[in-house]
Amino acid sequence: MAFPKFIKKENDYEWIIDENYKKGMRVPAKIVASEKLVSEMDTQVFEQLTNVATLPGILKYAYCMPDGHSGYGFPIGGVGAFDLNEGIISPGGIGFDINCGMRLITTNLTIKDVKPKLKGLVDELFKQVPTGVGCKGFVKLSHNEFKDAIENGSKWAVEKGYGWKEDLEYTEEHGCMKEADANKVSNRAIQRGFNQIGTLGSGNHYLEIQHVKKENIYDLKAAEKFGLFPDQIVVMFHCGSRGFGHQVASDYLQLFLKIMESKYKIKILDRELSCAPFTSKEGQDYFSAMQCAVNMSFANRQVILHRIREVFSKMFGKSAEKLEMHQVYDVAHNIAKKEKFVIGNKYKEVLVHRKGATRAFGAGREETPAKFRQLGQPVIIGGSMETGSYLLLGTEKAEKETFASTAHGSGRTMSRAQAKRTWKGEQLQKDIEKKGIYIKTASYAGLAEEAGGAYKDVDEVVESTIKSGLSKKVARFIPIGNIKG
Amino acid sequence: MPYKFLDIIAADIAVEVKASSLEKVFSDSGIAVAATQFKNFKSIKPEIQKKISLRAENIEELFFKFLDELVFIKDTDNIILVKFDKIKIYKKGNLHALECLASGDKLDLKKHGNIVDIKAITMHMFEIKKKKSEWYAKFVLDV
Repeated sequence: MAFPKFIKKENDYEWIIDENYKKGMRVPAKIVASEKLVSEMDTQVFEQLTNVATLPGILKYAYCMPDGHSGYGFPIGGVGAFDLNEGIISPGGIGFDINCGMRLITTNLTIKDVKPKLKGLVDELFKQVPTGVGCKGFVKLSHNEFKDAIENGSKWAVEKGYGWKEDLEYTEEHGCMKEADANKVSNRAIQRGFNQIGTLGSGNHYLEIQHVKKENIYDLKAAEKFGLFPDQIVVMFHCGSRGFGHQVASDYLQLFLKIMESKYKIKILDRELSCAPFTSKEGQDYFSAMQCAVNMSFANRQVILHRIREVFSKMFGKSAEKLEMHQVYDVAHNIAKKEKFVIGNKYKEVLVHRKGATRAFGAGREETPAKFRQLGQPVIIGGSMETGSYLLLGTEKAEKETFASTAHGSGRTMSRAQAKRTWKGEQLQKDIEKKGIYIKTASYAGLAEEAGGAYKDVDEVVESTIKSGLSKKVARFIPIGNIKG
Repeated sequence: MPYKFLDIIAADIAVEVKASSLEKVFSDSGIAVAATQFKNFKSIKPEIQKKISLRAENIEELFFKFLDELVFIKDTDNIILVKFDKIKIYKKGNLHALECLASGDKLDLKKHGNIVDIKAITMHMFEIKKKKSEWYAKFVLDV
């Protein structure tokens, strides 16, 4: 695609679409990416991003991260910060999969320990962590117990015995957003989600066993602080709030469509940007319901971590404590949060929507665990199943420039249909195995859709976050085993 | 095929349906929902019946609710609906109503060949309208 003329270069990694591009834009749009990545973005990204720039109360810019691709309402990789009094809240700025996010776990095992047992380990993980359509978790809950879980998140899970107390310290928000109110969630959402805690789901969700190669540790001091060392095996997984979160988003998107214009005189350019004033009853109800979905997702990842520890313990004949299976961090990439930033020389609390974007606080923020507060907040970037993933750190520049936001993954470049025409799941599985990555999947067609070639180059995405100053590199992880929904 | 998958969305699935009547657009769209998720959806037998009864302010909302209901039934009852008999769409006071006897079977991942899971029906490009003599619908499924 020819490079769009309406996009102006600010520097090698920042690109601006000014307010005159579209009627109603209240702020310019900013894309943080290399020229190559911007030129590969589909044109819908720019339309969606400039639509976001028209929303009431938006501050500074509508942002797009380097892994941006078109979504619904906001593009994936979209970030928008809104004034708490003048601004809105929009399910389309968060995504249907509320608190889709990443969790990274260390072990004291090395590649030599794991390689001989890899197939058995992956097969057992596939058995113990339900994947695919309709999968149900092993945690059996009544609707009332589920309401307790969605109001308390990871804390609920740890109290039930699914995890360690320290896991909470190393989870964004300590695994629980406190204004969650189960009364703001429909019965329909509860019915969809109450038996899904502890399940991975499908699509681009995965659980991966990864190898830390010596040459892929970029910041020795930080890596050591996170418990990483050469030749180590780590575990990373990616999933969200399952049907529960999807229903919460759908319920409120439909509600906002009905009241947005008639009651609040808000006009939008895309129905997926359906929203309500943040201070309105409807806006506050959604914020509370969204937090329930955030907590459900934290609880989901907490229970999955418990299962992973059980499987490793069984396979290696040692307790998870002896295997030093500590959680490095858990961070969301589909979320809206109240956060404080310096705007015009003073701290101001704003509502940041991140959709396919990760929070990236620099050093010293009290929200970051004390153990690595002076390094910055950990950022987990999931690559495609064939490439690799990263652990990064947030920066002060990200706080100043993008409301502390950075990329979240690779970002698609190819449609699912085209991917299925290009690759066949069974053959792809064999080809990947030849590269030393053993995969178990619930769906061969789904596997083909998630082929590495259907995604942007994760290294290029990460390089853009580094060169633009939004993140710092700690380590890169190479997949050796993967389970997919 | 009464429906077509459109290659216009990077991350998800866009569906187009053309049919001779409003009821058939609903029915064919329901089949497309099953076909999106299961390779062998034709092998899914209409063994279990589910009564669907919906109300909405307009046809578009009724269509959204219908598709959303199929996703809901998949997640809550583990039933994939593939046959939509006796669809009745009519006005009831100020509202539009739908009654339908849908049938399908319990989900069996191995037998039915799972492709993807539908998370939600989006409003992106969402439309249902009469174009001359035929009914036309387009919708995007978040997977």
